[in-house]
Amino acid sequence: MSLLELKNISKIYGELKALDNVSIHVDKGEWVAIMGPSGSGKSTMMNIIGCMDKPSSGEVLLHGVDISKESSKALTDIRRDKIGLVFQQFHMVNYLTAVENVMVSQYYHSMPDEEEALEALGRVGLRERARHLPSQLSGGEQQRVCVARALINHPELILADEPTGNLDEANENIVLDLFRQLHDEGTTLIVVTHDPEVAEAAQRTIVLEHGRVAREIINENFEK
Amino acid sequence: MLLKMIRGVLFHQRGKMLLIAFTIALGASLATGMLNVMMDVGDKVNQELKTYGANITVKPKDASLLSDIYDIGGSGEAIAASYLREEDLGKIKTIFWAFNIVDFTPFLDTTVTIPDGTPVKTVGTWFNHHLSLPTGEELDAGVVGMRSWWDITAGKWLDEKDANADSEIMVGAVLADQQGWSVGDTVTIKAGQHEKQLVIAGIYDAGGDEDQQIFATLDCVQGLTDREGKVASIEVSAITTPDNELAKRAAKNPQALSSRDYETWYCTAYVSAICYQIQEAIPNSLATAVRQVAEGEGAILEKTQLLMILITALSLVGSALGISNLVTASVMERAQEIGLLKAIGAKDRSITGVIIVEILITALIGGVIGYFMGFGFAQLIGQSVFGSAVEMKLKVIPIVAALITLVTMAGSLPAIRMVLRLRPAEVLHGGH
Amino acid sequence: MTKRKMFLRMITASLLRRRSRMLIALLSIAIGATILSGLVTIYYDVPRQMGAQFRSYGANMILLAKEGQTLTADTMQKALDVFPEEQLVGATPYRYVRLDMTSRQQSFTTAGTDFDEVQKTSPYFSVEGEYPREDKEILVGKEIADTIGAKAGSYIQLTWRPSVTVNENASDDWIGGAKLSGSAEGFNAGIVVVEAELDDEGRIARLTIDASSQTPEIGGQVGTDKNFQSRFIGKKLPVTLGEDVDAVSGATISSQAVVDALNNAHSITKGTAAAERSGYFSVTGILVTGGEEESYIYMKLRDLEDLTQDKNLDVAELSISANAEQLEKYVSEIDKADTGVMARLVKRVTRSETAVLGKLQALVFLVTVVVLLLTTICVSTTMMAVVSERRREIGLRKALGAPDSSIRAEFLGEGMFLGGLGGVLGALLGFVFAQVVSVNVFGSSITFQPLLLPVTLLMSMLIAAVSCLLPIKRAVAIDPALVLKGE
Repeated sequence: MSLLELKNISKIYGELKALDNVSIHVDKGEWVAIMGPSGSGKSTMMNIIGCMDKPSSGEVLLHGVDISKESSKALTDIRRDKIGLVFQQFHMVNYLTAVENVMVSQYYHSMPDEEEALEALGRVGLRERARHLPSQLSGGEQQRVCVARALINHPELILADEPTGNLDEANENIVLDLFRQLHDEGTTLIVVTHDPEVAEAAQRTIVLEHGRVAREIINENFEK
Repeated sequence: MLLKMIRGVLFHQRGKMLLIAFTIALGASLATGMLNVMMDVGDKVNQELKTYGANITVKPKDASLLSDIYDIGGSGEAIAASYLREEDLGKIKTIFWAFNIVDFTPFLDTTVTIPDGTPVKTVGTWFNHHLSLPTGEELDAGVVGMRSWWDITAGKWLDEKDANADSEIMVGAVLADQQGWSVGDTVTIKAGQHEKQLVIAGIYDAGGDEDQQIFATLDCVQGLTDREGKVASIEVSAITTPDNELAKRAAKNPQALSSRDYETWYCTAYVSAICYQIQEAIPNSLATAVRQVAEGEGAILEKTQLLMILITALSLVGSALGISNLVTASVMERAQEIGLLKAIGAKDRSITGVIIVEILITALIGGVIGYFMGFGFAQLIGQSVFGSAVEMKLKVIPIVAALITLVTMAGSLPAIRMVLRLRPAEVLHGGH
Repeated sequence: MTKRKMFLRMITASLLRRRSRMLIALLSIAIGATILSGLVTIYYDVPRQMGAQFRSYGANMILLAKEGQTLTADTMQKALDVFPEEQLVGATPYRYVRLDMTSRQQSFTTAGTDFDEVQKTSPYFSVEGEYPREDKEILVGKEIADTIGAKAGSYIQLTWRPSVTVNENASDDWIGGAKLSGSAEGFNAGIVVVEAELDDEGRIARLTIDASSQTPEIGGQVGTDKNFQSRFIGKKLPVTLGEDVDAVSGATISSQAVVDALNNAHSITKGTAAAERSGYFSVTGILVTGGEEESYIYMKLRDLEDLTQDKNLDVAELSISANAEQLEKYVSEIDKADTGVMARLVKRVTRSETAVLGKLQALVFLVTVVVLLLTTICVSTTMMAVVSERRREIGLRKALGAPDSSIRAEFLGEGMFLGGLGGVLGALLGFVFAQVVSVNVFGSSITFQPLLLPVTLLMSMLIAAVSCLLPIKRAVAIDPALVLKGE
């Protein structure tokens, strides 16, 4: 059974159809990239998957349950319990240290545990930078903290919006390596990007154009 | 370009700029309101203090020694021979400080015998005497205003506009009680050869010696004593400035002052200056300050003004800090924008210029609105406390304008400098 | 680590690591709280402090003897017991007696009093020279001083004559041939003096009356009306008006004074009669008031008692720092108490004080309300600016799955902490401010209102919370996606 299924999703902003009758499905443990040029509807889809927006019509099935009609409070609960988010602009609380930023996620999810948070930072190679404030970290380091924050609660789905958009190549590779590790551990990953190189790292790429699914590419080179 | 950027900020950040303009308007209104009230409170409280009655008494020059000193010597008649003239009274309202004379009333008293043979002091005075001055001014003067603490326990104030006012009297509560008189009774009084039938118009409780006296119109007592057109003393209630060192020197001998000091003294509403001017206006008179009233007024006025000055200072400091706080906060909020401008090569000076101009425009709008709001506050206070408008003082405008400018500059400049000191990368990087 | 610990850790981090912003918010709340506590303290203290200023108008209550009773230093002191010490500004005893000035054959009303208290109850007295400090020193009213040419440093001999003097030759039992003279108070405190000679049987043989102090044409007639004097001839003392002799019509009081003077003279035997006493007094200052006090002489009560051998008082002037209601209450308490003393308000002073003080208090009240209102809004806008700045952080927290309630709790916690800290700071600063005002304006310190601390604290926490809530509510309502996307 698929973990996530979008059925005939449309999102209309006034005259503009950001998404037009889109249907996709993502299986558990799968690594999917969503690609497309600016204005193709990527961000709208990402917001709907991330439970930060609701579709104008259509169904969003998570574990086969439609969540498209849920209240925003219920959506917040789902986002907290099931989804880990990684943003293009990193978005850290700027007065909290790296480890504290990770712990914020734990705090809203269940119980803050500094050891566990430090371990997560260790996984992204930032254990010794744990006590630094965001302003003292480089962009790549900040994004790695965000990845650590996304995975700390063992979400069923990690949703990343242009995670490498603001990074140089070295850092991009570090982040992609992290995704690979997560994938190996069985985490479901959805990465929104317009960078073909990032998309190629995924198992499958869904290409959006003008709010519709233009095509799906199975990445042959994906190393299992 | 500068204009474009400023317009951009003013329109696109309308919400934030509105908040700043609003806060500046509040601060400006507080400053305007308090300054206006502070500057007018002296006059207002002074007006209220007039309820204490006369602060100046005027007597004939050579009768200023009280006749009771000569009780035993028996030469009372000689002293009483000196009087002021009723026709001179209006001149009080022609002196330099005429506008400060709130009320005045003449007195002429005598002792009359009432039907049971008891001698009673009878005071002739004005009640609400209508005066038409040569200056064209019209006013009512008399004890109605000068004895505001009297309780009229029965009847009403004697009204000089009534045709038969000269055959009416007001009687003190104690006397009325002793004699069993009530309003409307006719009392026959004798004074020397004269005998008159007078109707009681009202009974008053003065809480003092006056409760055993009779008050009649000046004409009535003049008739009883054959002293037509004569007045024994005048009580004057004037708004005065509390005495200072100059006024004290002048009170001793105005002629001893240097001509400049004399000018200053003469043109200030010191009680001694007003006394001096009354003496100039009324021939053969001696005007003296009633220290009990003058001193009390001085003390209370001074304290009230000082109190208001300190409260005003506090509210000015408060609104200044409030405004500069908010301005600082709003500049710091824009650290990222400033960093960006710097990163694309803007000079520190031009960035500072843009922000300052923006904030000053906002301050101007807020300040103008605030000035009018503050004026409204001052009127609200004036009307509800004193029942009269607070005078609009023009000098408040530059004070408030300078204050707002200073405060917004003081609030924004250090913040801008602080933000400019940051490296652009750092700001763009970690800051949100 | 518990949730609560993390909660505290986040708030502490926010407070400590965002120091400049937090200082701005804290400063703004502290200013607001300072103004609140300072103005409220002043508002509550104004009536008391201003009331003290109003005491410069002089006494607002007088004590008198009830009918048939006497007022003495003792009974006055007993009556004063009803006043709390801090409200009693001063209490001045007065005894008025006419003394003769030997060198000029004139008599002046002389007041015996306590000069320390005079300065408290009549602060408007202006003395050219100094107040008397030693015994046998006096103040002379300006009008008297002008008449007799007295200055500070002059000496004046004052003589007290008993109202009854007995002729040296009179025999002990008032039998025939005695000469006696006496005086009594007639109309308007004027003194009527009589001299009489008795015949062998003790009947009045000859009588002279000096009534020049009485109103001419009325009371004065008892001195000039030969017919009236003749009514006494052949009468035995004491005489009663209306029975033994008829009054001069229209001059009852003066007629009674003549009768009293004769009876006084008769009732006192030679042995016990008080002799006249006199003393030299040094003038230390001239009193200027612009009122009738300028025609009096003031001396120490004890000096006057030495002259008159009489410890009674005529009146006591009290200056009491209390409102009209309290004053009325004290009057009825004194009147009810069994001290033989009654109290009366000086209406002119109390009335006006109530009116003016009411206005002043209303003024300070309105000013306080306006200033507080504007300050509150000022504080709110600053807090709002500080919170609005963190919209993106709120969006991020929401994206991380924070429920709205939790975000509210965090920001409110921070706001209320700032409110509390600012409140404590402000309450203390406000007290300092009020103290500075009080010392500068009124020259006296104020009492700390303990209740004001919690009130200020609560108010500033409330204001901080309310002004945080608005921007939080707005931020929380926005989709996290929009907040995070927007630059």
